[in-house]
Amino acid sequence: MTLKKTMVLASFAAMLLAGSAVSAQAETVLEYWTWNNEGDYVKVDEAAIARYQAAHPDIKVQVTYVPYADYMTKLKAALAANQPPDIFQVPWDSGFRDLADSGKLAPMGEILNTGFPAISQSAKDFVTLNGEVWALPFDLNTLQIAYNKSIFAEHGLTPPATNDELKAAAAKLNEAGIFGIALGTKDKWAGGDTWFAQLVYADPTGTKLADADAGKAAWDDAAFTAAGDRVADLVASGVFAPGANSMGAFNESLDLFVSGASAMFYPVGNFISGGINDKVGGEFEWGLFPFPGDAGQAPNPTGGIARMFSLPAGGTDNVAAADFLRTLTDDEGAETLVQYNFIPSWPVEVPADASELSKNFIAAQATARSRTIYTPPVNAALLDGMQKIFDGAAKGAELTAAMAAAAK
Amino acid sequence: MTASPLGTLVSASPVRRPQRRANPTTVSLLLAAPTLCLFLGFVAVPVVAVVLTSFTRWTGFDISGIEWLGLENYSGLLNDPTFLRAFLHTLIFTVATTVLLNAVGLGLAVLVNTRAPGTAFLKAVLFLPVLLSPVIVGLMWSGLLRGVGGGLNQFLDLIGLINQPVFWLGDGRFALAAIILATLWQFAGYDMILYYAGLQNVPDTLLEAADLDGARSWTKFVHVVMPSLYHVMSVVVLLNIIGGLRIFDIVYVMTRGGPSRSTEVLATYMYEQGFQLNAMGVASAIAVIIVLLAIGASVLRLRVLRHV
Repeated sequence: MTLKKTMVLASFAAMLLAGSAVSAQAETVLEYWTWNNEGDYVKVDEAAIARYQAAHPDIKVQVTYVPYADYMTKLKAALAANQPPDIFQVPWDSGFRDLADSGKLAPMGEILNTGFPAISQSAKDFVTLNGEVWALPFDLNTLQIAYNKSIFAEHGLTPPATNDELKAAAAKLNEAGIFGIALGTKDKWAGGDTWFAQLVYADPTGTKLADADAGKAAWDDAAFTAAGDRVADLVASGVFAPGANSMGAFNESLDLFVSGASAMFYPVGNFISGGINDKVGGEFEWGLFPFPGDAGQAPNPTGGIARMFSLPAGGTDNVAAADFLRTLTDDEGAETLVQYNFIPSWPVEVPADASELSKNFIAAQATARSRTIYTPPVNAALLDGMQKIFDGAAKGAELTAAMAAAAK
Repeated sequence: MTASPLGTLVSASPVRRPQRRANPTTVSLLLAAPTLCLFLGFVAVPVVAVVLTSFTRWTGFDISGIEWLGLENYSGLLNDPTFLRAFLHTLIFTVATTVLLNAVGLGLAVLVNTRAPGTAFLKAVLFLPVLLSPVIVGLMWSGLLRGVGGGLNQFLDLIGLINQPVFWLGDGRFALAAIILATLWQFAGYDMILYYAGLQNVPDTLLEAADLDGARSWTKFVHVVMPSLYHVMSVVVLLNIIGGLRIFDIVYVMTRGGPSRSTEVLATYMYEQGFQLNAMGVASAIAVIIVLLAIGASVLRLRVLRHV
């Protein structure tokens, strides 16, 4: 063989080798969008990604954090342009119905039947619309009132079990120059949650909210009006710190609680418990109790899905993406969630050494009632109406009249 | 007879084809083409798309789900009390900020133009807030106007004017005024700079002539300085009006349009419709109305200037 021929063959062999190396390096990238870029959810995601990539060396999970304020704007643009991420977090609020109706989400019912833990039916119901499951309900939250144990002990108070006890406790605190419940309704949603909390007691059947959302009951039903009146009564009784409408849910209002100016703070779930601990910094101990109702009614929190994930309709990598969701929810995934005080949406064994908060959250979840209206205009009317109630400018009747009008 | 030098030259030159001249219109178009493409892609097409979307019902998820409604979004807005409130608040905000910004900006420009000691420093300090993001300004003023622990309440308490906290941003009577105040604080320096530039162009000869005629300072200001500033003023007023009509960020940060919609403006309502209620058609209709108002202000400016 001449030198020239040898050179040509060597070059050809080198090219082949290079080509095979390139194809060996080619990997599938799963684009994963979430807005939870702080706190312990990041650790939960990172652990799952590490496990998944170890099991699938040819697949890389690329996380993109999009701020919550911009999330739906960007997701809508990506879906409309038919360039959606492979896995994406979806909102739990009223926008979910439009998203599910858009035809842009892959049906998840069949997928969740294979290789996933036994997700609770109530969690599945939450993400079921028109008979199909549209998301993986990953974990759950419960909303309760946080209280400063030191201030309560100092004033001889115990966690109230009824609204009357709550009013009496607030009156005692106000006399001592301490506000009752710090609540920020500038963002509106926290005001809405006080209505959901009182609806638990105004509608003992627990069915009217879902019925009204499905168009089977009127939004000006007496139970809905009563829930608004109950909150208005608490506002008028000085249960809440003044100026709720000027405070953000987790900014100024939380500062009141952390500084000791308020003895209580609402709403608190696992999504903010770590933030409270960070801000309190061990200065005082705090605990939780559900928003109470009337005498004879067992205190019951509200709650719902914390994080949920969807896949795009017709996504080319949906098989791999579903596998990643399986990794998020496997036994180690459940352990990681519990480790960080999150509540998996499927039954898990709570370790004996789990934190008091974690045990509280999981116990509360068993009876938690819904805090979601799926009809966006009605939800908007609720949030606006609650601001008026916190202004002292409206009561339940005005609130539900606006909700009924919005439904039309 | 001797050949003329010109004739020699002409006869010596090779035959040249007449040079084709490029059509000036073609050249202009070619030169403008890159900018025109950018304008079409990033301005004209989106504007047309927004106008078309304003006649539809669309959630924004899938273009195939779009539904033609005609003028229904516009007629719906005219019967929507929240939109009408937002419209009114936008007008109040625009008029108030335009009047106040011009008055304060012009006053500061005149002050700075005296060139008294310290005015150069003052000019820099007054312009500083313009460089800040409205989001930062909104957060800063929210802290200052906070009910419990806010700087303003602490000061008012100190001088004995209040003994209970006032929730400036949580009370519908004060919230819009508070936002106007924050906007004035941020942008007065901007108007000042524009007026200051205008003051540099007031002819000295006119001022000297007025001096010779024995005119007093106020008379000189009204009859010499102000007429020289009309063109600057028209631009400043127009900029303030357009800025006022599309105000969003500072309102969103300070109040989210609340409490109870008392600070809702067109842009915050547009955002709510588009991205919280998924009503892209309604949001687009509001956007079109904002643009029409801005165009109206612009036309008005041109008409007024014709008579000056």
